[in-house]
Amino acid sequence: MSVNGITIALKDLRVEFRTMRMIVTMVIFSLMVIMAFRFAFLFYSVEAEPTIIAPILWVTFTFAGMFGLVSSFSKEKDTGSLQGLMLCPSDRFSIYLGKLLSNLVLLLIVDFAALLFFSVFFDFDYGGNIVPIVSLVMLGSVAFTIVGTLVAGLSVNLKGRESALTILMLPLIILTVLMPAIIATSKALDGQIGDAWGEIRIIGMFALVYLALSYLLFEYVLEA
Amino acid sequence: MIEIENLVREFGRKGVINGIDLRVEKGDYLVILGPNGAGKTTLLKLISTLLRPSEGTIKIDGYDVKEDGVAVRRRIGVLGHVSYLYDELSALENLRFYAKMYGVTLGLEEIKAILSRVKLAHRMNDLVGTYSRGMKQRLAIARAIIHKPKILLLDEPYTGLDLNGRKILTDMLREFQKHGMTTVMVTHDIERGYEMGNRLAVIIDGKIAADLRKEDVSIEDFKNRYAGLMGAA
Repeated sequence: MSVNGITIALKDLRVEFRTMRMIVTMVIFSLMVIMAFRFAFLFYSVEAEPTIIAPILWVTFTFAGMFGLVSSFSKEKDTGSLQGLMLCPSDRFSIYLGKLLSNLVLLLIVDFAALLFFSVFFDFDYGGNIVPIVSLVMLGSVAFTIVGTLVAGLSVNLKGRESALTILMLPLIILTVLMPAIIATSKALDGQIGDAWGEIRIIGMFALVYLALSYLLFEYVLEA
Repeated sequence: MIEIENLVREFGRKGVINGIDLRVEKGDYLVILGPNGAGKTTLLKLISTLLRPSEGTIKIDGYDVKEDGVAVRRRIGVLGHVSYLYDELSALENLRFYAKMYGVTLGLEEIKAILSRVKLAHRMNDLVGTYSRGMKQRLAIARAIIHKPKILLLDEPYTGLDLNGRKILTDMLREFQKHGMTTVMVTHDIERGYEMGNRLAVIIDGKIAADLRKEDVSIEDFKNRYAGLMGAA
């Protein structure tokens, strides 16, 4: 990662942890989603149903994550400081990398909070599967953020950018990140992580494809 | 040195810059005037690599803005009516951030010295969000010159500055002139433009309608010519 990318990420995280503008919203939103699912499954024991647990977790990660992505470029666009970044002597991809890193840190914090909320509200013990589950959450979050940061950059110049981000992003991640992550997490919850290599490969491959696309496109994305 | 040849920039089908040829020599202080929507700010955005030309070329010290954007950005400082600063960071943190982004290593004393020049050293640890508009613009001046650019691009730089801020900016710009810095300033203020620049250009409908050396025209003549061009447009 370029030095300027790290500098941008550290600046973003400093601003975020000083204001707690997005992280609090994202964590509370994830809590609300988990609680909504708890009420939906009030008379249902999910303990023995990894095929239900995994979608609950990934729907929570996805929609909470989108909150953070929307604001990753939009506030700087509105204040004009995005132009300040674009005027710095580095390629525009380093802006992407900086945003990618700061978005990822925020998303991982929300992911871990959501895992904890799920455990508390569903009285669920991850047991010996916690390491593979956390690893899958991290891999899926990296892929999600790679796509999301590109789409957030693309949508920042559009009218109605919040809805544009969701509309543009979901088709890109459903088959390439979300479904494989849900299937792999179901297998991990069932203690069968060894059977999830196919899904892990799909997520990893598409993450690399989207990263390469971002490298090629981002020079033009912010100017659009 | 800035060399612009046959520059065209279109937004959709609408041409905003319609064939500009311009050469700004080292040490020149070019003031660009023109009505709203004439293409002045777009021209600065093209020179500073914020926008890409649709046709034509812009070279800064021989570096093409399309091909060598990083090298171009290293050589320019931009001061606009937007400060590019972060309200949630202090003045010190803002300048440290931009210094790192420009690859400049500055110690605390050096940053303090820069802030002293814009009379903000006593507020360096305060969040920029607590600053007045004029103070932010003064800090923006410090941000624009933190990497010691060879070329300064100014877009209505006096906007929002009080008398003290105007004097600070004017003094700094004069000092840069003495040291041979190349400056391009977009403004609506004819008198200030005439006072500061050594060359005056008028843009109308994305074309250079006049390009005069200051020594060839008095302020009154220039005002009359400008009014004539506005009337013709």
